[in-house]
Amino acid sequence: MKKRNIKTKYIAYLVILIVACVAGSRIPGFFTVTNILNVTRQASTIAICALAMTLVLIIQGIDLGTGGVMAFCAMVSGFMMLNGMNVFFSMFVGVAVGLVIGVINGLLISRINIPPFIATYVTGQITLGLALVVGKGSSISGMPDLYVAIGNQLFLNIPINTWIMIVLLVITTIILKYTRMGKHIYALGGNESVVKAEGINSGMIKIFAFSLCGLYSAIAGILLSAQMATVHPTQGASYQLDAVAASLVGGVSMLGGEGAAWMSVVGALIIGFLRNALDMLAIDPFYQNLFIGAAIIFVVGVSVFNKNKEMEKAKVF
Amino acid sequence: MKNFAKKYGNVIIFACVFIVGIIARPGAFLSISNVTGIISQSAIAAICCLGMTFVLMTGGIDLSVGYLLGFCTYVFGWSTVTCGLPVIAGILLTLAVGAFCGMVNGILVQVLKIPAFIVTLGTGYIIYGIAQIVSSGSAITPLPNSILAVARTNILGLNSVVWIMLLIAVVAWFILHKSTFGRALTSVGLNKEASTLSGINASFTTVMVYVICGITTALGAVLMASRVNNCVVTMGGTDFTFTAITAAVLGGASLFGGIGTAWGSLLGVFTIYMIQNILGILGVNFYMYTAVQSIVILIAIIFENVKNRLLQ
Amino acid sequence: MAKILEMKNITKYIFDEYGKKINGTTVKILNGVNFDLEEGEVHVLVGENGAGKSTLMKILGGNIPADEGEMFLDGKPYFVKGPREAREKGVAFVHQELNLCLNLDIAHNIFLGREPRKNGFVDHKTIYKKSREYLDKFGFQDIDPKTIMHNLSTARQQVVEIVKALSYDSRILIMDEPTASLTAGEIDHLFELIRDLKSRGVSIIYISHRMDELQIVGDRLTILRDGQSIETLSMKDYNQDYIVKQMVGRTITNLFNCTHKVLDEDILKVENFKIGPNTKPISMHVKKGEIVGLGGLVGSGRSEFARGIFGVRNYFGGTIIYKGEEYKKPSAEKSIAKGIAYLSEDRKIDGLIVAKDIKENISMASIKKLFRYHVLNNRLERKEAEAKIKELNVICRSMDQLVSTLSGGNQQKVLFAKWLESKPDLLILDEPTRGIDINAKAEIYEIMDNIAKQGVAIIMISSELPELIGMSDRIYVMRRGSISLEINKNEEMTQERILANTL
Repeated sequence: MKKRNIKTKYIAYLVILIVACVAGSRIPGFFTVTNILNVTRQASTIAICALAMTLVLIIQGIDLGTGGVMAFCAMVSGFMMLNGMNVFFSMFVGVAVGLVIGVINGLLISRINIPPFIATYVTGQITLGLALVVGKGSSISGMPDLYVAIGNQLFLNIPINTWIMIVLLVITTIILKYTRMGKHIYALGGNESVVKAEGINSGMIKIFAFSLCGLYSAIAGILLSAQMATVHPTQGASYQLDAVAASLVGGVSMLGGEGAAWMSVVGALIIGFLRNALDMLAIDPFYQNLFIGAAIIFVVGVSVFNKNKEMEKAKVF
Repeated sequence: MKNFAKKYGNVIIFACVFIVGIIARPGAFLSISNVTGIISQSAIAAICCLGMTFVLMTGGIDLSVGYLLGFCTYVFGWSTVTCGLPVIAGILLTLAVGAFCGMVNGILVQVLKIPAFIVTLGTGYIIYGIAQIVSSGSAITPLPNSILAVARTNILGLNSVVWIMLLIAVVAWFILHKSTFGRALTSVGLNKEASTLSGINASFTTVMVYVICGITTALGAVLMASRVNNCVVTMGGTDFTFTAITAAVLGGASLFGGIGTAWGSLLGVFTIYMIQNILGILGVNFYMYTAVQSIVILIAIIFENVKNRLLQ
Repeated sequence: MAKILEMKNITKYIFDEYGKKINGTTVKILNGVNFDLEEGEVHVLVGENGAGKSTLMKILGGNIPADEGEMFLDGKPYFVKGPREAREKGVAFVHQELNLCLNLDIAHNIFLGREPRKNGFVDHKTIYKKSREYLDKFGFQDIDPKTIMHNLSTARQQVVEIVKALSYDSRILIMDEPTASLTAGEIDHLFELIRDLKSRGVSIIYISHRMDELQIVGDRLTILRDGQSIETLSMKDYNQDYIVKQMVGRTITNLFNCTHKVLDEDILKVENFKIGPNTKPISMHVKKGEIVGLGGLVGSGRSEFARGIFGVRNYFGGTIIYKGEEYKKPSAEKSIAKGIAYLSEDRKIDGLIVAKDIKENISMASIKKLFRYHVLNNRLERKEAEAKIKELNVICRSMDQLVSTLSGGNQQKVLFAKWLESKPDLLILDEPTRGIDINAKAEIYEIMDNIAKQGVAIIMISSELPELIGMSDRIYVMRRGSISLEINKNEEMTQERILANTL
């Protein structure tokens, strides 16, 4: 199965590469440094959300509350800044709030046995609602220059956003590859009963994965509003689907147990470039939703199909 | 007592919210105009929630209804205003579009065996994309007078939309609890293998519930358009999906399938609109609604889960 | 030699999915079993399906607790709460169905839950190095510890499971049917490994259905029957006929009072029916009013055959002739309409809907006749359910009670009621008396006889030889997906003969 999966994945990458080349040759300015930097900046936010999604997808979960967390945590830090608090402290609190929401998700899923997509959907709505409350129903702006600079400045010619994304990529990779928790995350996604039989606390793994997911989403939301110099209550809405799509297109399995951090980043770059190419080709932005929705169904469909075929083969007679 | 709590968790939640309303502002809350107002406001969501109940009872979920609602209002406006079709033809076309979208969902879920929430998350965005492309983001108004009259007529003190809702509720009750199909779908929701062995066509049942959900959504769209005299694709959206699902859950429908009732889902919708109404009476700002409403829903879901575990 | 393990008077009642005794049950799976193990020996455990071998080993391996009895390891009381604790005490279990994460590589499966760390990070180098050592030690130089599990053959996966078990420095290794899915060459390799382990002082408990291999690997042999340990003997005294006799043991009691008569008319005729792409074809027939027994081991393809005829599983060629006509493209819906019923093996998984009440379960397979113009006739449903409850003597408070609250025997009767309500002419029963007590069994045999008297044909799949022999007019025995023996005459139906043809 692994072999076939890799093959389909490579085909997907190849198709995307061809599309990118065609787009690049047809669109003037697509392959310029400014444009590529611009895309990486935008893709960084998607990539951070996708990294968050990776963690929970591996344990057969999903986070449908990314949008709400992104808005609410940014709203909290923005609100604190407007009230004269230190920029970094405000950002720290915002990120901490994301962590708390993640822990709550983890508890709802592991202790109360609510299916992940419902638990995160509801907490997502709650955070969205709370973002509206903090922002009194609209967006807030006027944050300090330092904050805006974090979202827009370059460091060593690369946007700070992208640096943060790279740091998170490295951290996530280390967690997944070099810690016991990471190994247990994969094991849990592969076979929960084995994990339990080994005496590993599977609830703890779920709480860990979902809290990290909340934390990352919060970082993504705060960076996004730093970039825009404003916090809008629905700013995270489009990232919800992008994050799921990026992970799945990059090769993380919806069925759990397979995937790596870098895959989500690759997926995010693909989606970032796709959106950018469609923008530059002046294609109606509405087509983007359509493409991304179809891509998700297609990618999951292929992996489910492969899995079913594999199970058919495993039968004795 | 134990049995009552097990069976009527939805009544307990409804009663709690109701009591809060009475304590908060008895005069304003219990007035006839307020009560009929709550019912009238919840009518359209109730129709869609009844459709959602069918889906939930087979263990599925439909996250695309909000976007489908927006798309269907546009289809209705386009057919009746832009194309000048008769209202009846427009309604039938809209219902057909809803049924078709539902069928696509059902086929993807049943044939490709993709988890329902992924399928409908994807198709939701696809429908939204198509809707925005065909409408180019514009709204259609005004609608023909004959359809506007529907939302403006009162019969026996209740809005005609409420009567339509009641009619749909009776039909849904009949199908769910009195028909072969209803038996089949609870069986499929609880145990697909046993149902298949008993000669129930699980594939047909699964596809059909999504079709039903699509049709109720399309009907909701027509009524929504007639009520606001406007057809725009951004109507509905994820908030509407959220209301439809959580109302059914508050009404006692299980997310794992097999359990749910038509009256329970109605009660769930009333509970949600009652919460909004109480917030309104208390003068709470509109932007707080989402937060308070979703927190109450989360508490209710936790309550149901913990209660079921304790009672076992 | 020193005794390493002793199990005394182990008793276990039927249990739920968590291993807890089901409330109020009196059905014992194990009844005062005694078992011991010496250092460096291979102790073979034999018995029919359901004799309690796996349950006994699950208790030893810490998967489920015993209800009564004591265990001693090295003379000290042995009490464990879970498989992990058992393994730490040196008792490792290689399950029949493998317990591995197929998405991880070999090394990480071996070290799951106890990954060595260096500076707080998982030390992959050590993991791979040690896995390499373990694999080498047991003679698998050709397996790369970095291979992902699902790229391995089943045999290799089993090797990994054994290596994992041994990596805990286990002194006792339990192997539950380790050769079930192995090829001849792989089996030889496994036996070599077992001999090697023995020489290292590891004691092995070996469960198998294949009589031919027991003599090769075993030192001693214990026979379990009906949850009791019957006899322990040395392999020196190996005598297959004697062992088989001890395994079946029971004399057939007067549970089976068959008075039905076989009519001389075929209701079902199956020709060249293949349940798998590579199995031998099956040909068989069933007459009206006849009870045909279908024997064989679990996994010999009996259920697959029944499901193929009923139309809920694909088959690979062959014809079904039912009531004189060819039955093409069977499906459950068509089968029920034609009067074929199939009582599945596991009532909780695909037989009953335990979260529904009794009456809805009874009417499930015959729902269409309760509807007039698509409207449910509640009164008729209640009437029919009431009649069936009375007829089959289902003990319940009311027909609105959930099936999950009934005892196993009564659940089985509800399952019978459901299918009898569909008025079948051919009834296929898959393990109709599994997990129910003796009284309920007797009632079910009586029901079967009554049905047959009305001219209904019955195919009964059963792993219990006495019931197979006692109830059947004719017996087919299945082995590896096809029929290995047909017994026509009652006097030729001996447990020994059937057993010899299943193995």
